[in-house]
Amino acid sequence: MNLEKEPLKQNEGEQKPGSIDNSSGKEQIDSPELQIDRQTAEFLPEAERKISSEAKSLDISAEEVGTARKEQGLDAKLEEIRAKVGQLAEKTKKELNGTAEDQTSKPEVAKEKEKMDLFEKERLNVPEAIMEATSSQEYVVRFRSEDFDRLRKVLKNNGCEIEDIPEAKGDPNYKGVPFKIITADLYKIGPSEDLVFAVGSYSPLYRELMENDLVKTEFIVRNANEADPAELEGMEKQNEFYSRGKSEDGKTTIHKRGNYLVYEQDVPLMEQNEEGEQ
Amino acid sequence: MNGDNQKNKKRTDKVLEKYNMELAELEKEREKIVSDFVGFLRDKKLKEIKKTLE
Repeated sequence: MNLEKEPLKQNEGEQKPGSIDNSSGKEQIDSPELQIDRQTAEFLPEAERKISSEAKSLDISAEEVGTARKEQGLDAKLEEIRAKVGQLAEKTKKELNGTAEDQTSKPEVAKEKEKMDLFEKERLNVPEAIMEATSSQEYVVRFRSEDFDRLRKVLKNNGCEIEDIPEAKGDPNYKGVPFKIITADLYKIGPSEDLVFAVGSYSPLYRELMENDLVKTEFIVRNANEADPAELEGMEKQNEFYSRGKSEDGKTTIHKRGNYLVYEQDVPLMEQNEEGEQ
Repeated sequence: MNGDNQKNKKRTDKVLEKYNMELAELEKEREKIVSDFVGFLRDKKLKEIKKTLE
């Protein structure tokens, strides 16, 4: 049954084929509240199914779709509309129960919309790596550019699919990772030459990448309220949402978005560390 | 009693009618978001194909 296309009707008299009426022993359709819950739950999966079916028919990889989603701010748009459907469902169920509070949900919807609009504005004004580091659960890292063969090996060992980029083959001036990485655990952020990726914090891949000296830079997130005030002094405001500065020793770039500080710092080579410790 | 039931049914029908209308509007919004995104994917793919052919 396509719940999306089936307008809700009251559970009485005009039953659909296959419904039960308790009084007569016939089949009965679900209560309107249950149908509303189902429609709400199905609202986004319906969109995801369409996107994934279109992507499949166009032969576009999950990684490319992930990048496009970020470029287009798709998740924020879908989240905004999902919130509206949730509000509508709650309001309708209250009305069905005779406890309608018509006006109460309107400020909530407006508040939610305001929040999403702000997020969208920030997305346009804050570097993608910083947005990702401060708004998702993933780890954000930059790969070393000199060891793509080792990167390929580690990714393959972790079950990632690798697809060579034909124009990168044999081109010493090619900027970016010379192959596409197809896995839900790792996705590209920002311009390809920047080599910045988000790695699933739940995935063993992060540790593997670190242990194999494949991560050049890490983006470490801290609460700005806990920062040393001296660190914030030299920061330059880039726009109303974002500031940037350097640490005292000049080695770490410090980014600020709202109450978050992101320390962009180089990761020392493990091999060097081990030598140093010996 | 029958009168009350009729009245309740009428009220519920009205609430559901309003819900269906508002949901249909949100579905339209969702379809627009999806179709814009799919359009973007198509354009991107087309550019890639053109680049490969060149």
